[in-house]
Amino acid sequence: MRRAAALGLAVVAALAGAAGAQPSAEFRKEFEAGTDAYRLGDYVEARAHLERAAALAPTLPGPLRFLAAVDAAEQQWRACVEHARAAIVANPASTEIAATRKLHDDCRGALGWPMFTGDYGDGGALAVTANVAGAALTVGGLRAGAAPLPPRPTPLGPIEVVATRAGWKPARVTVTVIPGVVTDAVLTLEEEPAGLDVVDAGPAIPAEGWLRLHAPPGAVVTVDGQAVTVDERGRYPLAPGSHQVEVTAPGARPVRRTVRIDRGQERQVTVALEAEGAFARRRRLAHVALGAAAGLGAAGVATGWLALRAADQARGWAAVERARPTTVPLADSAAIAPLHTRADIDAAGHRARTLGLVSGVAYLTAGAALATGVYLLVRNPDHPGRATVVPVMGDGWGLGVAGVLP
Amino acid sequence: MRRAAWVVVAAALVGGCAWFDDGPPTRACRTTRDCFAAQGEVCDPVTATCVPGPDAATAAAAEAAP
Repeated sequence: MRRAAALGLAVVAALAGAAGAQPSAEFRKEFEAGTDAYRLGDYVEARAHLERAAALAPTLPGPLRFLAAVDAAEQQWRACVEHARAAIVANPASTEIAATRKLHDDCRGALGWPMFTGDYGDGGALAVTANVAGAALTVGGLRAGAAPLPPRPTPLGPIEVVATRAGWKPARVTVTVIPGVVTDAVLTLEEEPAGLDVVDAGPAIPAEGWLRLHAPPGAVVTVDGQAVTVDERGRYPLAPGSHQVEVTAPGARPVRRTVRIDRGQERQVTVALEAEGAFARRRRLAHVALGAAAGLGAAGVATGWLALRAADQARGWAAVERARPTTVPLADSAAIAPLHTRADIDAAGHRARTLGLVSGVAYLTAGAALATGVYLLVRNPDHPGRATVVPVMGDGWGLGVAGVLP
Repeated sequence: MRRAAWVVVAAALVGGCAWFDDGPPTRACRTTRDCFAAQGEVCDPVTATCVPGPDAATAAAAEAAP
């Protein structure tokens, strides 16, 4: 019922739009006949009229939108998606664009394709499916994980999607991402016939990955406890997975790193060895700083406690003096509660403030010493401070900064 | 390590107490009841501080007399 109402409105809007664009009388006759037949449930006749109307005015979205509706009524979901896309492309600013997008999404949903729940922004979204699960995908020249790829925001316009998998011929398709809906790239890989020359196998992912290690000259490298040798390109070929890499050199502290190797990918690792003497010096300095931090912290605690005590004492004396009766001679009441003059109380207050200041300074200095000690202790000269800007594809596109602090 | 943790906990406790502590008393007042009336102080309504009253000097001298 709601769909009928929406389509009724669409007829009015489409006719108004068609009137503005001065469509021919023949177009109007075919379009109206098509929408009438659609409303009466005669989808065969509706399709015939609407296809003639679309041929008469290919740039008008109305016939395409109704063709999508006819497709949906006949459960021809793929044709529905194509007609709805064509209607969106014909006029992305149509007043019926929301209804067209919903029709498009309903037909995609009927196909069982994953829906997009994020924000399209000014762009569209791209989803990739392939007949071979796990095929490596490249979208717009960037690696994008493995098939199937759920919908993700993507800029508008044409984009090439390539799927590769060892033992299969690469498949590529160029799709045009349109606004406000998910564009599906469907790839079909053909199995590589046995006996073909592997040179023609395309960019299939090799079974191993590589480690390129930047280490000081003379350093000895072992991987998982075994001596390794570099290939002709200066890389260590390794099986995919995590490996324990150890770099040693005379007079230097050995460095151990866990490195993850992925198939077909080269991982670069830079190792800076630290001399044993420098390491011992750094550790000693760190311990001195941490000891100083502990001492200063203890001083801060002690002076802070004394400051609290002095302030408490001054407040107690002041409370007694305020409550001291005026009708009793001072000498008599002083025998019960010792007399403290304003000068005594001011002196106690001054002492409390001075101790509080000392405590604060001790705390701050202890904090600085603690930070220095921790820095010296955890600083790893093996990780030089370096940042790398890399392109990323996740829920969106952009640039990321990767690296570590020194 | 455990000792350092105790120092940090004690520092946090004392620091927190000091942070929320009211501090030593001041001479601020609203009425003479806020001052040391038995010692002759009165509240000066203009400056809202406790000041020695007119006979405070005399009283102090009397207290100090042998």
